[in-house]
Amino acid sequence: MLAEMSPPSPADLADDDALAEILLLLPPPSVLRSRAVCKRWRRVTTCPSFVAAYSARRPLELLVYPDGYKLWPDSKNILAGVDPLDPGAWGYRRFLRMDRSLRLVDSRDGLLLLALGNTAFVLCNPATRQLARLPSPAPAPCMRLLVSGLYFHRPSGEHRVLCIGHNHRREGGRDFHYILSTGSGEPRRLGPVATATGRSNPIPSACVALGATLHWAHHPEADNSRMVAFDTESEAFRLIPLPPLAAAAGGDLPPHIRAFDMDGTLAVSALVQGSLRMDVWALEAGAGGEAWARRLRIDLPPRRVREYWSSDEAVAVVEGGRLLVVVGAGWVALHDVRTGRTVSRVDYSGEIGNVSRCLYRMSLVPLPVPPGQPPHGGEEPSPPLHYWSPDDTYMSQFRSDCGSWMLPDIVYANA
Amino acid sequence: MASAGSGDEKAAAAAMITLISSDNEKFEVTEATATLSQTIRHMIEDGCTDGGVPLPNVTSKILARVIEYCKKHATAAAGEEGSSSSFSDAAFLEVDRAFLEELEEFDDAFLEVDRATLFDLILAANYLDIKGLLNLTCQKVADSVKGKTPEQIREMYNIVNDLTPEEEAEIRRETQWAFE
Repeated sequence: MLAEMSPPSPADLADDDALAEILLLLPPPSVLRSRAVCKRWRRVTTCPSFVAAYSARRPLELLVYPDGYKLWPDSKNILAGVDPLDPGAWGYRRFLRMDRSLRLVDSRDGLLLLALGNTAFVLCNPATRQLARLPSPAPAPCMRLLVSGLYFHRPSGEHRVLCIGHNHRREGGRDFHYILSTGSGEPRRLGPVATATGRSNPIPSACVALGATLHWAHHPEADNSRMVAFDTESEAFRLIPLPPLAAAAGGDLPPHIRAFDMDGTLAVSALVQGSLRMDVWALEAGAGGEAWARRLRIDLPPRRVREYWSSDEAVAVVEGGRLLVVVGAGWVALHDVRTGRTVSRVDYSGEIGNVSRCLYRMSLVPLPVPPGQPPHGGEEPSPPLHYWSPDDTYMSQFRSDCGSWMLPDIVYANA
Repeated sequence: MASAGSGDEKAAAAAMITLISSDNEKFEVTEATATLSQTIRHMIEDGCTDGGVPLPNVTSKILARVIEYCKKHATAAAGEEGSSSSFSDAAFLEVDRAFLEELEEFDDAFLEVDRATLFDLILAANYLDIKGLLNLTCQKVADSVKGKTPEQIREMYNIVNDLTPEEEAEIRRETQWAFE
């Protein structure tokens, strides 16, 4: 099988699967370098099934701001990940530090969607350190963009952003849905945003992707009894019923609800304000079609400080669907999905300034790299980002959106 | 644990399976050892193990090593099943540390093989679908590749660079930082 004289090499591994098994174990920079070894290694490591397997084997992390979310001028926000299953809790893995002009608005497939001010979006893969800027809808000066969700558009093979263009002056002040694409396509305007009255929450809540459908517990397109879904292939909205939540008694606040992915099933966590109890509902397939079933009722920890508006939410399941991840004000808890029993609870409030409700799983999903390198960049300065290495060692270089390298600015280096 | 269940397990553990290597050598192993391989587990479930399981891709030399690994780890798996599998359980945290250390030492010693054997073990573990062994052996190769430049990897493993200069430049441009 092996030539007598040449030492055996992974090139002799006849099976691409076996080679992939080896390369799947490497940290991102090593995988990226391995692509330049030979044609076969490049083919194996760029194949979509490798990219998917690579991500599936990384832990699910909750995105957090270790230093809190800073709003003052010249402040830098550090974005990090916490692994709820990490036995050595308290730790976090820093990904990047970003200028105040950037803020995290969604995360999917290992990509972070960052809003640049109120008028543009940037997609960032912190593992490959690729950045892609999304085109802004035309009448930019008087438009504020509000994200609905980031999604993978299978027909085109590119990531897209569904957002709301909040128009101050034009079109009689009407707002429209827009689709922005990482490909070459121009922003596309969908229909106007629903203007039904009496809705309390016009801002889209956390976006949950299940298969090719996005879901929101709150969305401007929703009505009083239904939540909103968006088919990412046909790129159209539809309404699905809300779980039969106990209606808030007169004068009481409505339950705080959040949609999440419960091991491939759409689920909603509902927290009745003033109670220390959370219900988890799942949209289960039955004889008469899909119906909501209450899966779980869990007890929440007593409050140390009185909260007027509690925002405890279930965000994910881990360990093959056995454990539910519940996030509260600064703490992260794991609950047994069968019994509801608390398995662990870590209070990060002393260590971490702010726990975002976004999830992240490291991925090698590629972003389009602009061809060539413009000699002096574009008209606008690039969003300043610092990356940390996968084992969280400070990296002193950062990249601009036009694909060139810049020396770190002294301000950032010392921030 | 229900007592009826453990009775069944004992009966299953006593069942023997015959594995036949590519050079026609026969190995008698317990079902508990053999079923660390998902491939063999499926064969047993389908009831097609009578008369032995032929493994035309695995030589007797490699199969002997694979069985050595499975025997050791089957004992470990049995120990884990005895306690609760829920990671929240205090029992899980108090898993016999000495045994885990012994297992680790075994794994380290197991990897003290030449490169050709290591690659044969990877192919066998992949074919037989033995997750632990595949991970163990692949990790050893991955550790040797980690942190190396493409040139160093090619030299170390005698790989011919068949990328055109244009292709290589394109790969480097996509994620320039990883090459610096």
